[in-house]
Amino acid sequence: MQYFPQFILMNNCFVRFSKHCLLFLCLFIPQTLFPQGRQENATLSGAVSDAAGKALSGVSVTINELHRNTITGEDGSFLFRNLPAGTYSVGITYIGYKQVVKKVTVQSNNTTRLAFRLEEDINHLNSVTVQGKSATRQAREQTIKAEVVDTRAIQHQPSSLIEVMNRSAGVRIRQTGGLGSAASLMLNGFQDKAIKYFKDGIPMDYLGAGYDITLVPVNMLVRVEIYKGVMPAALGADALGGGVNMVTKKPFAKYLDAAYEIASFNTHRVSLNGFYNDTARKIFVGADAFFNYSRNNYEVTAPVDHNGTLVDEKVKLFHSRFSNFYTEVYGGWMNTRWADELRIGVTGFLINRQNQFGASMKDVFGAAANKQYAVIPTLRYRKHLFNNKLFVDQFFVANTVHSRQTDTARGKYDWYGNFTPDNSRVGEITRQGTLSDIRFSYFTSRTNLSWQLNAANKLELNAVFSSMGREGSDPYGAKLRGSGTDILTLPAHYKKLVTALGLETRLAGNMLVNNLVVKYYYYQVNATDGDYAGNEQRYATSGSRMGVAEAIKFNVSPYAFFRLSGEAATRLPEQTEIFGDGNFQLSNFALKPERSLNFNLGYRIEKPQHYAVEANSFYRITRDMILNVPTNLIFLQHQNIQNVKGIGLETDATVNIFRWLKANGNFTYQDFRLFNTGFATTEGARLRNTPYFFANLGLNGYLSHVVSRCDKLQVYWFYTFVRQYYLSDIPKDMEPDGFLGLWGKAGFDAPNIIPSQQLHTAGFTYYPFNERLSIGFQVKNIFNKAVYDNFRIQNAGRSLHLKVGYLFR
Amino acid sequence: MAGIMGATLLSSCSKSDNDNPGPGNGGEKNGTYVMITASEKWGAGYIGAFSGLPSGDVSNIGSKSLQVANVFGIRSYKSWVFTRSSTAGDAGLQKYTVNTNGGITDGGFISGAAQYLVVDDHTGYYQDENRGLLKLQTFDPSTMKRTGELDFSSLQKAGVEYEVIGKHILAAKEGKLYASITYGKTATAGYGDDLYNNVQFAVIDIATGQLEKTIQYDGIKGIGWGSSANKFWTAGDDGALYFYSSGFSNGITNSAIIRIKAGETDFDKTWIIKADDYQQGSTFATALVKGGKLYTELSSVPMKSDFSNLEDIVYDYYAIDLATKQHTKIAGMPQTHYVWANDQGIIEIDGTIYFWVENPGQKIAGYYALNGNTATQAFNVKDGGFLWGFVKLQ
Repeated sequence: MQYFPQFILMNNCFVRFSKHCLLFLCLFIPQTLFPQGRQENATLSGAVSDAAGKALSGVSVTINELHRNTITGEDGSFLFRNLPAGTYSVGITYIGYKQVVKKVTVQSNNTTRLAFRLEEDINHLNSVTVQGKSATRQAREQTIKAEVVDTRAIQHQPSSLIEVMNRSAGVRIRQTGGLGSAASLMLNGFQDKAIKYFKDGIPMDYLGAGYDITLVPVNMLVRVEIYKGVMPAALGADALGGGVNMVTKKPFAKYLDAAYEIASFNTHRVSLNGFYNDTARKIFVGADAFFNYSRNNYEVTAPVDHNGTLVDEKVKLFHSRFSNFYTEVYGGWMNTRWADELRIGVTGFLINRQNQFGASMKDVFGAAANKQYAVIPTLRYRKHLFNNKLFVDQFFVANTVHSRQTDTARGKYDWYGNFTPDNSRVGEITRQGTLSDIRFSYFTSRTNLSWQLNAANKLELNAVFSSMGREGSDPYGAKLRGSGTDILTLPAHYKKLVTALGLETRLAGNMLVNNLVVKYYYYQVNATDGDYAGNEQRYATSGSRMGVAEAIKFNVSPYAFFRLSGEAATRLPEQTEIFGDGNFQLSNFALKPERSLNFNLGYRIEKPQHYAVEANSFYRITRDMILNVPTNLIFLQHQNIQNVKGIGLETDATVNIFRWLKANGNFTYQDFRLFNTGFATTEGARLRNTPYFFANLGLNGYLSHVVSRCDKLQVYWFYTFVRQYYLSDIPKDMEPDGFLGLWGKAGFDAPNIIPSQQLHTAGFTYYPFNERLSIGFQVKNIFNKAVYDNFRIQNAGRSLHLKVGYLFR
Repeated sequence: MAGIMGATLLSSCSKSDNDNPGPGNGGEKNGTYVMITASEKWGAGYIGAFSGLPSGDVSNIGSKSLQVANVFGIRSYKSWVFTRSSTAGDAGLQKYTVNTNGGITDGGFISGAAQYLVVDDHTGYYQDENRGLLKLQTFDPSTMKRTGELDFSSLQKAGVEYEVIGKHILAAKEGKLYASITYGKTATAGYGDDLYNNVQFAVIDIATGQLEKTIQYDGIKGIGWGSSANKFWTAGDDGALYFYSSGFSNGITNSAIIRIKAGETDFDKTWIIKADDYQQGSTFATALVKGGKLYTELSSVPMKSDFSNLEDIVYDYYAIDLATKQHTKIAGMPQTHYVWANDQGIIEIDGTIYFWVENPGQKIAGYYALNGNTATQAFNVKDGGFLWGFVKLQ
């Protein structure tokens, strides 16, 4: 209430917000849909080559004023059609070459040709990091705010994707162990199910655990787009608090990229990307593959049970081994008359994970493990039609993910790996144990249609239909009390449709860009639950909701802009939240979707090669958040319990101290608080177990001719700070005092703290001959501090990492 | 100017002290009292000490309060209080003491301990299923160290999937330890899954640790409920132990209170109080026996078989005559919540009986003192949340 105008907080705020947007549409759109004056039939074509005249493919070509870009083909050529007559800046960006910008004037009914000859850039690393690829830069500067992690700039570092993302403003990922352990992403206070994940714009549910931020090597990706609060139309999911889009490499020329990393705790990571195309036959094939393995046998201080008394002792993890394979093989046709791309892919993955501890390190396990695998066929079709005015992007996938949990130790382990048999129990995690084998079936269709109405307006329709099913068995699992039927054998089906219609409008020579997105969510659940007597009951339920998002970007200059965006977002309840298990988990057919009003306001200014500064503020008001809570003495039930609102500020700055040295830093402060709790001590309390202040600093140095005339060296240091936070709610009047609560401690004895975290990482990447061969070395947690992302779950101490990569072109 | 500031400061201190007495402040009766409250109904909360019996509106959140990760009731023995989880929320038996400053101090923790009983300063028993379903662990409450275990594997009944001793009831009198024997299923771990329509206890000689016999009361199920601080029995001023059967088994049926009289080591099979005699489908979870009366909480409406109204504010307090079994409703009180994990639903402090009341709708979370057949409010915790227990320490 104290942060925002009253109307935002009213119950009908969504309706009002929608009305405002519709009013905006009525007043704004007619003038822009049918602009007077400029013709749009100019054509710009050209070619890009290197200094020796050799054609360069895969080069990014951008018309800055129109925000249109393309990639050169195998022969180095590019083409823009249907341009309004005028004068434009055309930029060329390509890794290893100097950036080039040319002014060009195009005229109606004429084709203008441009030729670019690129020179190699000896300071290539610096320019990549500052500028990034054109598409990456565009993602960073799009109307809807996205935090863009340019993974290409750090692809030769032995950094995990989680570490790289954690260096971004507003992003905090907490992991419960080493490589492959579960990770929880927090964006502006939202966590877990409020955030959705995408791979190249496709919701990633169908990939199970096979492809996520904990596993994918950074060199498999071009960038990661992190949307906070407001989601663009093309990302179709019921995300309440944002989304993460992992963008893979899009090769246009033959290449093979291989990398191998060896690290502490017996860690090995291998990745391989290959691509081959035949431009004459217009076919291509490729493969992306990675393998991760780690014993994760790092040292922790654990509570060791000595005859009932817990004593903190230093022990090594002995049951945290993790391994996974992931391979995607694909092929198809590109640049034919009937398809820009028709891509057929088959993905396979296998994950084996040991679990040494659960929600805390108090209980130790020595045999429990899980396994997941799948073979996934995919189909993607892309085509520009009607003189590039209409773009069609269709994706299909149908697959099954197999998941097996094993907990049949028939005894208990201690922290030193000693086993005590106990035939009265099956499992070590739970007494009843588990040997579950579950098959999750997925069918996903994603349709994206983009229609360039004219130079000023683009209409986009995105529809994602998902059908999910679950079936399985567990001889030791929960049974319906009445019939004794294994609950996992009961059918469960969930269907979801998320549709978005977006209009992008550019005005005043692209000074003002507006995006309006209207969304429709629908879900349908069919499943079997048990009544209290444990009898089987078939139930079906469905629900729908509308949403709207609006984003405006105002370009003050070519290097400065404001952004304002807002979304009435929805997360649909999942099948497992609606239905019980016929046992202690009760169903709740009255469960409502979670809903949130999210707003972002930001400003970015940049002086190329000197500095860039960005500041963003955000506001959230989230209602009906779903929690699984105890009810009626012995049961659990998902209920719409929690309401959260708050504001935050995040800033990010990059300064080129010298030509060869660049510093960057960011900080995030967020103040999310509970409201309408019904309990005096939690009303207005800060969202518990959630970091509220964190910051990063980094230094990057770029040196050439270190040992030889053609070598290059990048050295870097990163520092991360996370302010301590409390596991439980602290009443507002008893919070730590000081500026923004950043100093002091709670006004009573509150020992359950996730302590402040300070991490130092340093390393270098050396290119001895050219950039095809890279040798990366890194030391993480240099000072070997005890690090906790979660309450009393210790992460790894100091570790050494060596990564070698080679690119064959 | 300084005078005005001084007067303002004094008046604000005075107002604060009167309006917001927190832990450390007490009322008219001397002694040390400990209160446990949850921020909301479940989850984290606070343990606070009072240097006198609270009165009026009080807060349990003060500078000396201890925040704990889980709140699910409290028990006391002399100057110690016990909870079923550590400050950090780990399952086990946690002892706290009140230090001279009125703060709460860690008095030791036994990992994995569940249902427990403190017999004297140096004798205690607890159940730890990880160490054996048919074993009872022994500990020294003074040092909070495990001292050994008693093995009752001889009680193993063939064909029973899940059999556990001492999970729901551990009680003692006259040198004997009484431990419930539960026959259930692994999946439901002995909660509401009794295989037999009877209650069975092991009778163990405390001095020798030997099993003397098992005793059985037919016709009722669901004795005790071992997940919380509520021990589900009370020692009467007549020397008898009174045990509560919740009746939780396929709904709520046949809840009852049974007893073992003073000088006896078997159930008094001539005596039973059945909840259905007063309110069909109601359930017992608290009692206090004094002066020939059993004080207890009963619902005013039938409990639904799916437990969906178990947590409604539909409970009243009654005095039941032990001999005639006539019941009389305690007057002057609002209705309250199911006593659940609160072992101090009805307590006696310095000769006065107090009734716990949780009625969020009326913003009441406190205790009412009995005078005759009418109770009046003694104090009210104004923090909101949930009052889960209140004890006076010796």
